[in-house]
Amino acid sequence: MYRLHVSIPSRTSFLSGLEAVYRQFMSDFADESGLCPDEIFLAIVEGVVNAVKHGNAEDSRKNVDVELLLTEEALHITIKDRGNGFHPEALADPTHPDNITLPGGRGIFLMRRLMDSVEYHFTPGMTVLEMKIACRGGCHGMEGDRGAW
Amino acid sequence: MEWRVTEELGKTAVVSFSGNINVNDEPAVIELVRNVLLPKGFIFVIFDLNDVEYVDSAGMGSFLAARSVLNKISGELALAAPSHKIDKILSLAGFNKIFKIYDSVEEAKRKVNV
Repeated sequence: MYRLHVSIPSRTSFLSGLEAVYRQFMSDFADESGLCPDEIFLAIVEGVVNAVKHGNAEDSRKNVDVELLLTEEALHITIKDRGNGFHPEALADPTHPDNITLPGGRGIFLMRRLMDSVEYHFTPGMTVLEMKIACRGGCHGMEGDRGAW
Repeated sequence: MEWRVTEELGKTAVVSFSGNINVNDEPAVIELVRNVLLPKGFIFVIFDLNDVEYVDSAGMGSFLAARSVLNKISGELALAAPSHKIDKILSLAGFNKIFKIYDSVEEAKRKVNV
């Protein structure tokens, strides 16, 4: 089992640093896992940007915690912010003709399509996003053909 | 993200991007169209995505905003030469239904109004 924990202030300018650490982790420990680093990172970016902008309202005194846990079976990703949550079920389908030209609303949709599971858990002052993708299951589409697309 | 105008053909400009187009680049993409291309009379714009590593949802939002600016003056934004993975993510978001996405810049130049 391999674990990476990164905590960043709520600024999207820290994404490039997060990417560097993530790439190193995947290169060192997940090279033979069959995981697809590009599409996983895109899901992480969407989760972190939501945490920074919506969860912590870009208050850089509040951090966003990102944890990766790699086992033989799967990569587990946890992203925590200090927000009070939202209603994921209320989000509209961004590919619906009524919504497709709207500038936002695609982040969680993309996460759900790129990962095997995406779950939000809310407690007062804390939002936890948990995502999981199985090793050796192939890619969801960006880097191969997992069949979901 | 880095960009440069690689071709100027009448009212058409080709802009080649490299690196990532993410939430930090959203304003720059819109300013590129509004403050660089439009003042020079370029209303038909081709974004060459050949060297782009990834586009996140905010980057996609910037494409929509740029498209909206151009459409208001009867212009057009086309996307060209996305890698397989970028093409897949654009399709996943439904962008293949609202954008003209060409396999190559050459094809885009032939089909976008010059």
